[in-house]
Amino acid sequence: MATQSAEDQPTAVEKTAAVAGLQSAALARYLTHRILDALNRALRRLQVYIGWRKEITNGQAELVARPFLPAAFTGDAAHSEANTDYRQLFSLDPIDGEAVLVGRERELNAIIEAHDLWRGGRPVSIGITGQRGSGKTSLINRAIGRSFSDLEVVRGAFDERITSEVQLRAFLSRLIGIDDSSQLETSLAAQRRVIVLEDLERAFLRQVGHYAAVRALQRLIAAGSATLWILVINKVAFRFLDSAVGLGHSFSHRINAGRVDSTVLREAILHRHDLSGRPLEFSSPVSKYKGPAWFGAMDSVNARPENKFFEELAIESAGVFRAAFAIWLGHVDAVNPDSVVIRPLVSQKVSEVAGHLDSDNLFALMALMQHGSLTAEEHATIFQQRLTSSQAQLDELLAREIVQPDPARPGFRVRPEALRIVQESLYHRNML
Amino acid sequence: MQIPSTPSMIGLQDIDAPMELISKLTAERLLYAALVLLATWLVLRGSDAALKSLSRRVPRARFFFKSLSPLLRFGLWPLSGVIVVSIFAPSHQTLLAVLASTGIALGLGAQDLIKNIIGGVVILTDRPYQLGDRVKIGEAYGEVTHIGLRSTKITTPDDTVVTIPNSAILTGKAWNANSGVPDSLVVTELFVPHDVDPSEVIDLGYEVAYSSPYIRLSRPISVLLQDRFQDGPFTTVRIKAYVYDHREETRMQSDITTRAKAEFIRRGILLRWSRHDHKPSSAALRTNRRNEGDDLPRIAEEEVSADTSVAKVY
Repeated sequence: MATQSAEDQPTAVEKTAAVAGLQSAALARYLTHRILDALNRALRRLQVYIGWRKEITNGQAELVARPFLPAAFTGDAAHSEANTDYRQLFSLDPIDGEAVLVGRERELNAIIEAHDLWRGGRPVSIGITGQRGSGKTSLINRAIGRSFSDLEVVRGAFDERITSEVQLRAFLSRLIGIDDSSQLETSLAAQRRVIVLEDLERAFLRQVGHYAAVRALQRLIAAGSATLWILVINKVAFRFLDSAVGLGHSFSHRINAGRVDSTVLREAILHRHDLSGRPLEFSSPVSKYKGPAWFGAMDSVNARPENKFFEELAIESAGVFRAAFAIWLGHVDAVNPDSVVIRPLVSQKVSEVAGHLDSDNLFALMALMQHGSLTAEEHATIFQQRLTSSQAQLDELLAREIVQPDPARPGFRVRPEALRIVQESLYHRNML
Repeated sequence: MQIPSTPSMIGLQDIDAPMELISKLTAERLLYAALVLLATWLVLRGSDAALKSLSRRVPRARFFFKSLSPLLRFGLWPLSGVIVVSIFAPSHQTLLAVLASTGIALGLGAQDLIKNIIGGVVILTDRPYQLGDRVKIGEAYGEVTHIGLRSTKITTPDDTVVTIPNSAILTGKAWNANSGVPDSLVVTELFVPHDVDPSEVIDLGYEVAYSSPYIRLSRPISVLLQDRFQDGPFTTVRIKAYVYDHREETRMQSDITTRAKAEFIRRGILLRWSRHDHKPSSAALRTNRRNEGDDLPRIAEEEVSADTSVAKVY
């Protein structure tokens, strides 16, 4: 058997060259394969483009999932660790006392100023506007407690939808305690009193012939100065009625009790939380930043978790107390005997939820905001369509978690946590 | 004075421009030039797709995003032309000769093309309209969907694309209904008997307009009456209101017409017309029949005849 001499053995250079050659060949094969593959795909696309070949859809693309509101934004108890006791501190009902009422000093002073003018014999009527859940009722409670204690104060809310003059006169007659509604003007002029009417958005329907109640109310306000009228209406409804029937002209004072900034929201929430007697812990958001540390220091994620939370909260809640409380409760991670842990509030991409709302959805949402809440019958009247169609449309919005049954009245309302999505969607389509 | 118009007259007769150009047409240079043009095309396609996506996400801001598209087109194509010329690097004299020859050729054979390109520049600078606007140019009415180097494309409410040479803007008129904002004025005309109570009809017109979900509430509404005579006297009700998005113009007209007609019927205004000597419109008759014993308050859209609502652009 012949043995290889040392000269026949490949040198190191030859070995390296052979390896390099093999690697180059492999690379060339790989590149050729990729290039041919890309050309093949390009050819297929061209064939589809010119209509030669039918487009082959990816099987997975057939599954189209409707986007939902983020779980933490639904205010659902199932997604929150807040116990019942802690939840009660953030009750969404209006409050009576001053103990937990925060902010609104400027608005309160404006009401007292108007009240002083009325006491001086001037005809005064106050319109208080603001988003639903922004604290309008609490503001009035506070004003009455502070300045109106020596006056006859009559309060009422339009719990049922009224649209005609007859209905309005009957409602007001009942409110001030007279039997004959034809004597309403006489009775109003005979005694000085404060009349507070809440939920004025429920005194009309956006349909021909359904503005008579508001117009009748405007006439009564203009008729005399014996009554100090305080009307409370949500902002979107006011905007509509001001355009349609000139409601703004009926008020001598208009107070905007709308959105508040992050400082007031923070104060209000921490004030209520302090009643629990537990310290508060804010979990730090997980930073996705991978760049240099010096640059990351400027990243807002590295700001104090508490500050970051309330900044985001002001944005996500659109500055509305009710929405802010619901989101706060949705972010309670744990209620321990010695602390309450709050998980980070991460700004949500709501464009997907908003992008799935078509014109009919948005018209319905606009109507819901303008009227406070709507039943299917009222929706059908506004949009002149079958009752079944209206019911189906509202059910669809309910399934999307954009609306919810109104807890106080029949019908549906925009859920407070979805307010920002709805407002943004309407604004982006130039409807608001 | 004789105006020089040919290469020989402007002193370029000694230049062997074609030979020089041919010598520069190497495969490598042609490849580079093709790559530059392809890259330009890809960039424009990509930017168009991105701008369209942004426009869909925020329809209110679509005019801004869309206005960038023609600017990019008019900016990038000339830039790529300059780069291609620099790739071939012709001498000054050759370039002048080529430009002169091209100028003469275009002057003789493609004046319209030059006019259209100038028209395109005028559209970009004078901005009589921009992408997304509702315009009327000549006989064409619709939304501007493309402003190119040569032409403007308009999509009509019937979804037909009309191509208009940009030069039309140099000599013709262009009516723009919205000028870069989504809302635009829509006029809906309705016809009622001449003996109706004018104040009742005017109040009704306002309520109908405000009740339409298509209305842009922050803009004014006006209702105007005019007596007219055609085969008998009648009164025209013109409801002038702004639609929140001009794309919904026809739907808003239909909605206002439907609501008004339902109320006219409920108040007996159209029925009163039918008792006159004049025949009511076929649409009114159909509407009456449909509402007899029908629990459906809505009058179907297809039953509103085209002659009851007329679109006008101001």
